[in-house]
Amino acid sequence: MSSHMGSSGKNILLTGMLVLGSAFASAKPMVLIPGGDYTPPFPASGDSSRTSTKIRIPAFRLDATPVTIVEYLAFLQQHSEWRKSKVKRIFADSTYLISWKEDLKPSSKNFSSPVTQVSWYAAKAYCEVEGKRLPGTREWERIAQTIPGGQDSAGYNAQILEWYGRPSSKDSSDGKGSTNAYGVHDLFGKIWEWTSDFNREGPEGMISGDRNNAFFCGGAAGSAKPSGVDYATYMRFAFRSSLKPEYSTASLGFRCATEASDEK
Amino acid sequence: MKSEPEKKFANKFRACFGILLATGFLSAHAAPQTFPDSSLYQLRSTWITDAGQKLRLADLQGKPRLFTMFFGSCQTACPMVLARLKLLESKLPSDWEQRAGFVLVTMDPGRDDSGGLAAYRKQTDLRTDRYTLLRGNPEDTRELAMLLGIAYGPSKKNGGIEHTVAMILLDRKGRIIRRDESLEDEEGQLKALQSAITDAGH
Repeated sequence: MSSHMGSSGKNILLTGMLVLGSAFASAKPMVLIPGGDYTPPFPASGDSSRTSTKIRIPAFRLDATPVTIVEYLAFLQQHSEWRKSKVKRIFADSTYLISWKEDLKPSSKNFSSPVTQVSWYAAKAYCEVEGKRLPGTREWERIAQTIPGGQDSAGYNAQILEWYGRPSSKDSSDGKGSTNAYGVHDLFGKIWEWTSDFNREGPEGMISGDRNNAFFCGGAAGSAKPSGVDYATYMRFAFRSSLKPEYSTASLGFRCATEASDEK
Repeated sequence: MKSEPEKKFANKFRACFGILLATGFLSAHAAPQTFPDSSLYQLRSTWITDAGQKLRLADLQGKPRLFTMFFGSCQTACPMVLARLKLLESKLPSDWEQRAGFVLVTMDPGRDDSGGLAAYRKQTDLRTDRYTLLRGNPEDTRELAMLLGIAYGPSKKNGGIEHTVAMILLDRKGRIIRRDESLEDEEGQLKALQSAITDAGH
């Protein structure tokens, strides 16, 4: 009987920790992105008019910041199957958390840096545990189309491009990240981010299986660039199309989203 | 991905209601079976059949399975893939369903509910002992599609779905042994299926 008490005591403790854990997790600030129109940068495949039509993106909520190392560590403590020593190769390649010294020891001392070296499957699992999901590419890009302060899109894009051109820094904890008009932090300047459907939308033809299209074969990438698409956007789609879901690269992290109606 | 809490829960439960365990009520939630590292059956997601039954992919182990993804309102590619499956079916031994199975997973879980899948089965005349029709939540569906190498998303033009086509043969432990992204190699596909069936017989 006493051992029984002991185990239920442990259960209460565990429950307490879980509650604490989820309270901590739900404390991560999210911002409401109102419904709005999004103009895909690439015309629909087979659409000879080469003009993009607007798509309505329903309101949703998005983590204000990318998932950090300390948040990911908390996830690993609860979900041992995602620790680097245990993760199944089918869900994460050999670079998964490769810089971490041990399963629960990140290399970076700055635990508030965005976590990187995580696969799409790991990011999906993390968001699921939080009661969230990964944002869709269109949701992500809809926010990216919002220019802080309004007008100077050329200057804004130049700034993003300047970052895209820099070699990726492993520890991007300098706090110089950007804040966008909706209060979304660090959309650019720190890491690239997984989206739920990163593999489905890109330069025209991708989805129909025609991956060898002009974008990659046309010599200078600019020659295949549809007019009106800023180059920074173009680079993001090109980067996404180079990814596979098990990839875990040093510059790639994620943040989670929920439906706007969820009380999370 | 809830194995730890689930295990704790199971332990607690076992202490109080040991007899219930024998009914197999918790079997799907008990310690996970081990599959090879490259097996898709390691996925813990829950799926619903057109008959409304819950299923984990691990439940499909034991027979080679030919997977494909489709959706009920698909006008062009899916009927062609289905025609291929029926063609393969016609060339297999008449009792093949005892040694293999076809699995169709909807990539439109929003519109293809269990009733929709059941209607699809009836309309396209798919035998229940040969074809498993599955629906998952949008995230798990996307995850399975990633593993199967199928890309899809809403069409920009007409509210439909744009998608790639693939038929993926898994061995009885859930490892991919062949992928067909087109309808070109009918003979090769049939041979692979036949040999998987023969292997599974042992």
